[in-house]
Amino acid sequence: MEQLRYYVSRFLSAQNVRLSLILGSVLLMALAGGAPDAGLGGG
Amino acid sequence: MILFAVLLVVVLAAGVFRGREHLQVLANLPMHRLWLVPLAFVLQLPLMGAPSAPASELLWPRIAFVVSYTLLIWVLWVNRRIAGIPWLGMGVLLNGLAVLINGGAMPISPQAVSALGDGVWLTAVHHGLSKDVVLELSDTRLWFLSDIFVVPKPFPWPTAFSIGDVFIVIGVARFAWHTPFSAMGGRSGKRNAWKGQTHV
Repeated sequence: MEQLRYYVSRFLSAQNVRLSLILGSVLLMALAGGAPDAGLGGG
Repeated sequence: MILFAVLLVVVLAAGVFRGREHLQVLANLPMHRLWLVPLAFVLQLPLMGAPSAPASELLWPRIAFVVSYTLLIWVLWVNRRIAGIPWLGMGVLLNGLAVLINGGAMPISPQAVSALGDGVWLTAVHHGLSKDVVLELSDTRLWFLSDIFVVPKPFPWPTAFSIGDVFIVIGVARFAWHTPFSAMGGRSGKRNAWKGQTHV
């Protein structure tokens, strides 16, 4: 349990949260700007 | 979704091969207005969730779609000094232009849809659960910006994509791979980038 708490707290460090937000936002921009044509399999 | 898979692989590869320091640099990039990105994505859902129907019946979803592209271009503009973002922005701009000038959805030809193994489609019909409207190339304004590239079967994931999508993939790859120092857009870009705070 202690170990799990350690890993969770490490994962939720400010640095990791910021990295996830930035990478997630860039991927979401790419998706929203062009990539996913769900019905057409890609695009 | 094949291009999404490519994007994901590029980002993960950057994390694995460029190392932890590189990820820390990415985490500290001074990016602005990112809260607008999910909003832009949500604005696309009415069109992407709509079933196949004549495009004329989907006025509000198409308007929301154009607004969504406007928000994306704004976010990309304010972050233009960061590596890869100009490419990403150019791709979104080209796709947005094709969408705007063709009535609020990305045109795709009936031939391209057939090549994807999706049967025969009437024109001026929204292709359900996608961003596309089926239009003959001759009826498509700026047809060269539409989904003209087709990777047909027997490729396992048949795909149609535009020149804008190619720019987008290059942009994400440059963003994930380049260090901000090497690709922050010149001396002023470097200076400004490291002055700023990260606003997410």
